[in-house]
Amino acid sequence: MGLMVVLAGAVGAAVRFSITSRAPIHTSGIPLGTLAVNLGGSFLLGVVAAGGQPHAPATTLATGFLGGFTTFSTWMIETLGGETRQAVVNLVVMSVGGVVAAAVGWSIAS
Amino acid sequence: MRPSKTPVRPETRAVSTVFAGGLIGSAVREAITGLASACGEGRHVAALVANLSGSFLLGWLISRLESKGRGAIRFWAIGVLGSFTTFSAFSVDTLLLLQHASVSAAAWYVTVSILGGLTLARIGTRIGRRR
Repeated sequence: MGLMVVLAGAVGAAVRFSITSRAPIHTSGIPLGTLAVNLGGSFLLGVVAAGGQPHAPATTLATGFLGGFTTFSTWMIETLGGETRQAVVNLVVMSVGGVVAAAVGWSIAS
Repeated sequence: MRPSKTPVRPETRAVSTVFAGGLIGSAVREAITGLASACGEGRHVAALVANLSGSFLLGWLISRLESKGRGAIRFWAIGVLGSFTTFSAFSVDTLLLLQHASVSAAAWYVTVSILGGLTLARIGTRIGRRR
């Protein structure tokens, strides 16, 4: 199972790259690719977590995939790269949006 | 005559490079998650450790790799550290803390993750720029 989870995470990373390498950077300074990947991944993990079967193979695989698909460190570095106002917008939109996306996924699935 | 070797499309090569890096990042995160659960810690502790250390390392790497070309950035930054750190667990763990613990526990988790991540990424960048 461990190996499958690692493979799922690597597939997640490859899919993330295919999306972010095509996405433009919005004029607001928010990197839209990272935003799409992180909010989409939070929504999906909310769906998975609401299933309430933390030890089911499907849950483990999905969690591994979404772990590799979404990224925290890129968000931090992109925030540091922008001006102060852009940085604040990027921090607030991503963190609040992530929890909201996860909550929406959770409520749809439960 | 058929060419003996099909040329690899640049995009295929780029995605494969990220995939290879993603294997390493996911494996190390899995190891940390296993270690945390063996120590009786919750999953959110493992995510916090990965996200904070990964932010420091990405800051360091980005300044080291500036002159190394896109292949190295794809492998180390996008592949290894992109998949080592995780945002989906950060969101869902915050939601679970809101549901099962308290607003203040969730606020602490978010504050430590973000302020810690930003501070460590900046320190990593500074150290990486030193020669």
